[in-house]
Amino acid sequence: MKWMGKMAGLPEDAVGRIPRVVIIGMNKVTVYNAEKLEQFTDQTVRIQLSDALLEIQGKSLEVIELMPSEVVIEGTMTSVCLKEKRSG
Amino acid sequence: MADFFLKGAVTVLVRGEEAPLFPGRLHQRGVTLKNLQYSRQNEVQFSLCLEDLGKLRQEARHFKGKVRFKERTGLPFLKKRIMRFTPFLLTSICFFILMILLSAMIIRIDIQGADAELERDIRTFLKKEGVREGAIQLHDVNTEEISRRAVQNIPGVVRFLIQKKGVVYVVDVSSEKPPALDTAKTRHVRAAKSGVVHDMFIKYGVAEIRRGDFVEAGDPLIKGTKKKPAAGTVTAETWYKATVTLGGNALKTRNGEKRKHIFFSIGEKEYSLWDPSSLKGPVQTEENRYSFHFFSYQLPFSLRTETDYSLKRAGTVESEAEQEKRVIQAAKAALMAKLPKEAVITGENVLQKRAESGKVKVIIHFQVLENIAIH
Repeated sequence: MKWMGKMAGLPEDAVGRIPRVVIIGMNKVTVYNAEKLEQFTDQTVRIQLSDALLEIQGKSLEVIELMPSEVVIEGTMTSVCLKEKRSG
Repeated sequence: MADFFLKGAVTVLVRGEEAPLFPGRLHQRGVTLKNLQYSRQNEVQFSLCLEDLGKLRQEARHFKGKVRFKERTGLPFLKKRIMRFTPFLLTSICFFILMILLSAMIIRIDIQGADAELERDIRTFLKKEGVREGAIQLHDVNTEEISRRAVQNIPGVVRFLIQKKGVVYVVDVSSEKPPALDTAKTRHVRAAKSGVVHDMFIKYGVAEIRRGDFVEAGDPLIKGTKKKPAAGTVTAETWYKATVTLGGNALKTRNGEKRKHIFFSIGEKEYSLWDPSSLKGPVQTEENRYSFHFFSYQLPFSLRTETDYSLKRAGTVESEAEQEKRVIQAAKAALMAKLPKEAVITGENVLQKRAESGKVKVIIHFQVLENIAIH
């Protein structure tokens, strides 16, 4: 898949289900192709991606939309952390 | 999302130890959630489409905690709420219709400047025109047309002013004033018009004339004294001449075919509600305007109808005798309107009849029995 996209000159995120995280300012994060919303409280939102774990910390976080392929999070963010998935 | 509104949505409140994990589990089942909020310790709130309620139920079975519905939004619930208000809505619509009907009703007709007899005449005339107390009139009354006809048809009326003030029609009339009575002159009864005396009734005084006498205007009829003036009626045969010109164009009648155009206007703009194909050939158009009032305020929308009647040439050509009859009828009606009520038309003769460039000019002589006695 990856090489096909490269051959065609497409951006990497346009091909297949590769997760994409868009951060807009300090208040909005949009995650495409998220696998699972693991945990959700107003201070921590943990989202499982295909090969990583995205942890967002902040205050009064809200998930505005939780669709099968898109997650929109709003609130005052303090940190956005991308961790490698623990094997096992 | 439009789906949430159209299909209906519920706000769900989840409480329990595993509440922060609950939306994630739903998400894995392919459910779309919206407005996730973490409100308190282990309490999560989100809204969910009605369609996905089954999946929520499945998930809730494994969940240790409480799942509660908090709020219902969307069209299906809105519909239910409106249904509950149906009686109220129906009543208010009925109220508006009733108010519009009542506002279109003529509650009172005020007639100013007329004595009792003239007032009665005017009321009968207005009734014929469709203006009577208690009538519901949605179409606009053409007041100018009524005024013109009133002056023509009601004897003695010089000025006729009709005005609509909300639900009240105000009629302002001026009538011909009877000639001022002069005591010195009223001693004798004189003839108002020349004619042949036909009958007389003398209340007081000495008759100067006999039946069959020809009198001229101003001749004394009954002599009285200064103390007791003469009184009575003298019926005489008088003459009137009428000249009628008939249009040369052929008589046309409606053949029964008609097309009604309906227009609906809001404010200044006019939209056509019903626009049938137009008729071929000559047509006669009648226009009616319907406006709606709420109390005395005119509502900003109105209806207008235009009815086209197809015309056809009258199949039979009028014979000369028929034409003459029609002319006499028309002239007679016009004369009757002018004469006082007691007068009788006893005979008519066509004096002259000639065709002039397609038009027929007829001079008719009428014999009328009427009271010619005046003071």
